[in-house]
Amino acid sequence: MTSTLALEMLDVEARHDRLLALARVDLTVREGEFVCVLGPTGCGKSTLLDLAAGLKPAHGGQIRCHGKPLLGLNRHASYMFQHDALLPWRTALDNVSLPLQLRGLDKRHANQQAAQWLRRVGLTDVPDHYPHQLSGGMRKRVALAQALIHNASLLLMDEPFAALDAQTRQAMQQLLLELWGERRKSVLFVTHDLDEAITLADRVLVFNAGPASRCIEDIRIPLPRPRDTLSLRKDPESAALYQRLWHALGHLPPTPTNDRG
Amino acid sequence: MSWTTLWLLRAALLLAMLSLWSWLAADDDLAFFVGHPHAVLQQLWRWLSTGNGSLELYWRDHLLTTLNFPGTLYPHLLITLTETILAFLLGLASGLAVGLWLGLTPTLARVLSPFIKAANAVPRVVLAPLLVMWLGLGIASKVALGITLVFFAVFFNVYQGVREVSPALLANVRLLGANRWQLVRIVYLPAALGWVFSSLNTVIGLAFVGVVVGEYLGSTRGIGYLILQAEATFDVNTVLAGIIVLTCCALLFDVLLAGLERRLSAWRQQSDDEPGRR
Repeated sequence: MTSTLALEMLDVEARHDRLLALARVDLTVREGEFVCVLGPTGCGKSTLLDLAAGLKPAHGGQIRCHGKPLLGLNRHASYMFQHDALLPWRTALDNVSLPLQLRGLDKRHANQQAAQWLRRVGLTDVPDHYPHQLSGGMRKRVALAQALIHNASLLLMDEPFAALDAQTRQAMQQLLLELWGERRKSVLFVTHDLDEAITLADRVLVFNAGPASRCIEDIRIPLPRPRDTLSLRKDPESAALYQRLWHALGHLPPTPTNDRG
Repeated sequence: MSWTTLWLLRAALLLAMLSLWSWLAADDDLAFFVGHPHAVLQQLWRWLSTGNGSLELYWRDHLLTTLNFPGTLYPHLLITLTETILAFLLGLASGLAVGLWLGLTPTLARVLSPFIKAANAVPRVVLAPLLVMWLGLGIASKVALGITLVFFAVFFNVYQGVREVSPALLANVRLLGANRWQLVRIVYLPAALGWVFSSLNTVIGLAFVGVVVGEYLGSTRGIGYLILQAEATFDVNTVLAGIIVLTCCALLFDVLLAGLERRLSAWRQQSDDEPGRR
């Protein structure tokens, strides 16, 4: 049974200094499942992804990736950060081909594949541009191409589109849905945007406000795929889901362990 | 302001300064201190066209070859430029290496930090007598003094550059599969070089200062030596001619390095870099 789980967190705790950021988190992401983590800003959502990526150790509980306990860096994961993590001294093309080059593929082949991926994310004219020459949305596209070309089985995304304007964000969501639909990797996507969670996810995990936040509700999003971000806006079912999530976020029970250490 | 107007104004300003200088120099008493533009030009011309301009190149005690030039200035200029370039390159390389090394080993950096601060606090010029005693009156002592200036400037920039690499960037590249060596090559080195490239101009200036001061304090060759000789005979025109030669060299380096800098840091956000880059 564990073999069908891409990521599994059991009773996980995480602290910043002595402050409890995450308390007793249980979470699973099945193979090919798109899971959104929804919660107010500062509830330890980024910490959750850092734990899943193996960038930080958990202070309690267990994390498994594909059934095996996670020790150190998660080699099955690709991480798309909230802020730019592109190398400013590499061109768009060189940034995208980086994962392949790190794997030892020669530069010519790596660049060929990278150029294909740049096309797939809708960037054909800018392979030789440096990140500072690109707009925020274009940089996100490059980062997405980089994360996808890595072909990791688990994609971790930390509010990747939060800094974009509304139209660009919607375009990026549509692009992500299309590209994800082709390969169906497991995704753990952190957001504080209800619409975004409904649009993208198979399942939404609602977290309460920190400190000591944990998953307080697990809501399935049964909307059929492939989805279209535009028509979902008027869909009555998604409106109902929006209300449900809204209540889940709005009527939070008082946090039981509000100790600040 | 159009390009032509700009240059016309600049030419006018230069002319005004030269006129003021000539006017001051018309008074003989004053000319003793400020020199005379005409005499300075004459001195420059004498340096370039007359006198013994031979330079003997030795390796250890073995005479390799003798270069002959049409004027006194050339061998001195060649010596000073060689010293400057050597100080620049050696200081750059050592600063880069040590900066990277300490940036990547924080424990060592913490142990060494008071020593580094102390070493940097020493006014470098006071080292010159020591260096002359250790390395003699030849070019080695000048290069060494230049290096002590260049090294710390580069070292601090590189160290800072390595320490300030964004954690997200590092995490991303590590997750994409980089090992430690790849991390150095792909992230740390370019980050450090970025800082170095943007300060090449300052750094060559420091090399120049170190070298010329070294020559003032004890030498047998070099532009600093020429200036020192002239100063001993109160020959203000020759001193000024020497200063002009040094200024021209510094400007030349400036232009060359500015071009190099632009090419090497194309990935940086270009700012308006007309005036006052130093």
